[in-house]
Amino acid sequence: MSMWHIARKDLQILFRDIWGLAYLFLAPIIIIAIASVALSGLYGGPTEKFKIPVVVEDSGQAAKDMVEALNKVEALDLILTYKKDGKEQPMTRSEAEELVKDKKAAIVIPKGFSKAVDEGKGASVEVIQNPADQVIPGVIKNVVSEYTSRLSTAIVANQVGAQSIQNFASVVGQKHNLKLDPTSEISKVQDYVKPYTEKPPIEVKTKSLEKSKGSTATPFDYNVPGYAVMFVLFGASSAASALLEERENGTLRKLKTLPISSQSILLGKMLSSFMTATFQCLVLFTVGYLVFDMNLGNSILGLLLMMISTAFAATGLAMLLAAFCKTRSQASGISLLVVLSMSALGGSWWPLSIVPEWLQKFAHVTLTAWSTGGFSDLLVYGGGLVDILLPAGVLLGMGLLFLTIAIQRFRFE
Amino acid sequence: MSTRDILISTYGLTKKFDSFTAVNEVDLDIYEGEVLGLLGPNGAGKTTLISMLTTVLPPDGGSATVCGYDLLKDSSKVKQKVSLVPQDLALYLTLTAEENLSFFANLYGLKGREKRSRIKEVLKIAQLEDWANRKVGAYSGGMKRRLNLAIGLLNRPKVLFLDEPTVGVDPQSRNHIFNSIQYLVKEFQMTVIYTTHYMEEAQELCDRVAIYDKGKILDLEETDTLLQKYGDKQLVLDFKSIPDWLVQHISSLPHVDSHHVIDNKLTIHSSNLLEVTENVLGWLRTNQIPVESFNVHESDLESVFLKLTGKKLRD
Repeated sequence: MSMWHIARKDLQILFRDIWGLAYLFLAPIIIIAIASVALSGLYGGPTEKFKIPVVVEDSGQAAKDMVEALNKVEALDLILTYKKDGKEQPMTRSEAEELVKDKKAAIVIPKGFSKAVDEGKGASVEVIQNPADQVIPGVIKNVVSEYTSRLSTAIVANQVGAQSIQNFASVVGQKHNLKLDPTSEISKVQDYVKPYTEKPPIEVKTKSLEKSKGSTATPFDYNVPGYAVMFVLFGASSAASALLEERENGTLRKLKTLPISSQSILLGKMLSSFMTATFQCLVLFTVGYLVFDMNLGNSILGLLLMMISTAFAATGLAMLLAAFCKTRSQASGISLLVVLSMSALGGSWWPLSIVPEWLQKFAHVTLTAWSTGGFSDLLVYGGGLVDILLPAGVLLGMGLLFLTIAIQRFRFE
Repeated sequence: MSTRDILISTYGLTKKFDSFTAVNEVDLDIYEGEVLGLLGPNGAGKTTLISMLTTVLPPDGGSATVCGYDLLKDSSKVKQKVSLVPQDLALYLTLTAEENLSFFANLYGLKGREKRSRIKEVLKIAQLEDWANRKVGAYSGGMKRRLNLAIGLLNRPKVLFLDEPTVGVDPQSRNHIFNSIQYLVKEFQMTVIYTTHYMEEAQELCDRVAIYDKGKILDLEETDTLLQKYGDKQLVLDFKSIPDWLVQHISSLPHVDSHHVIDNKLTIHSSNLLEVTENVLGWLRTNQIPVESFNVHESDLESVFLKLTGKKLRD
């Protein structure tokens, strides 16, 4: 009976802790939902067409045929244009490369493609692949290869046939009862075919968007920044709890009586959280580099800016949590909910490029998406300082907004 | 007392939390070098009042000057002159006493030699020199309270607000805190505002006591004056059994103001207790009525509070 009373009391306390319950029930539901939607492509969910940018640099018939053939592939939704200054423009290589970061792969039909096809010289189609996704670009490559191999076969047949007829005509023309040697003709035909079998007339070349190093990106190049961002957020949220703890144990009240402003107190708390978060990033990236051979990209300055802006935004978020939560336990529950949801949604656990496009767009309401995106720009796509100015700017802006609201809203008592 | 300089003056000071009025139009003058007790039960609004006077909370109405500075307009100057020793232990438990003191000294703008000597000085007052380098988490409750007080002395305040400084401390630390306060007043002419719900403390320590309840000062006088004004001396007689006729007769004796009976104990209230005691004990002896025991209770602030509010301090 005593056992029952103890259990009943514990359950009573548990069910009065709204945020504890939120963590127990709401957090897993949200994470499960996000993960399931994000990874729906891997588990046989509703088929989504892959939007693939196609750059058509050639205006010949073969290029048109190629586009038409690709259009017939059900799994693909070709993007042949993009908007610039409000007008639709034909897709360019640079625009396609930019889009590949979100779209998994792009196809480039280069200038001179049709001519090369007509002449039976080595024509090529290029598949630009997103290194974050090894599956979809492979599928695209197969689709293109299948089409080009059909085209190649026809071309080979045409070429071989033409040569054979030419030879035959030549032989007939010289028909002055010269003894025909079929072995030699067969050998000639084989010689004609040989260049095509060794080097197909239409080749599918693959180009990865990675610029920073020759080798393929390793899982550490994605996971170290992704998990670093998540744990920076966890670290910062513990700063929110620490701030509320100071309010609960009375030290904040004491600080308010000292000859310093309220803003100084909050900014001081923020500064320690920011410095901790920045240092945490530095340690995690250093370990990633030294222990896991993680790539550091081409711009150390850009990397530092991303770390600083991520730490700043995370600190701002922590202060915002502290401003809106009344107790430490409330802050802990909400922090877990927010950080886990943002990590699942924002690309800490898997590259954002593998999730459905609408989710990729929605993910950018989180600072995690901007942060992981910026780090990927540097570490995976080999971008420089200029490439991360937007994500870093957004993160700094988010941090500033959060801090402003937090300073306005925070209550010392 | 009135010839001394007024250090704190409030006029209609008010603080509300939604519809609840925690401090209700308080008018108060506090003189330099005095120990003023704010005596009231928990939830009376004492902490809210001193929170306003130490600039922690902005008032919703009224005005106040502290050390000649307006509470709202010159709050930064007020902060330089006052110090609050909060009811909560405003300490960082994972730091040592010296680290705690150093942190607060930095925020007071103390530097170098001055900072070091000030830390040494307050550690001595709190008698914590030997514990200066130990983490505060390892301190007893009383030692934490003493460190809490030491932090409040770092800026050598003109006015020291002590908010229930003896809650949860052992008698030794309590005595130490009392001695420290008396030393500070004597040596530095410090003005001390002392909130408590222990009437013995207010009675022992304070020059004047404000009886405070429901956000209002009900009366503010020197302790002796309050006791005379509202004090209620009692004679308590303990009988084996007490018949009604006996109660009626004793209550009709001269100078008996009122009486009540609980568990065969007859309590007689009187403003002239000496006379009543002589009369009652004489009559009982004459009539050979046995008494188990008797006690004479002097007036205390508890009875003053009871008279002014109709309830006990710890109700």
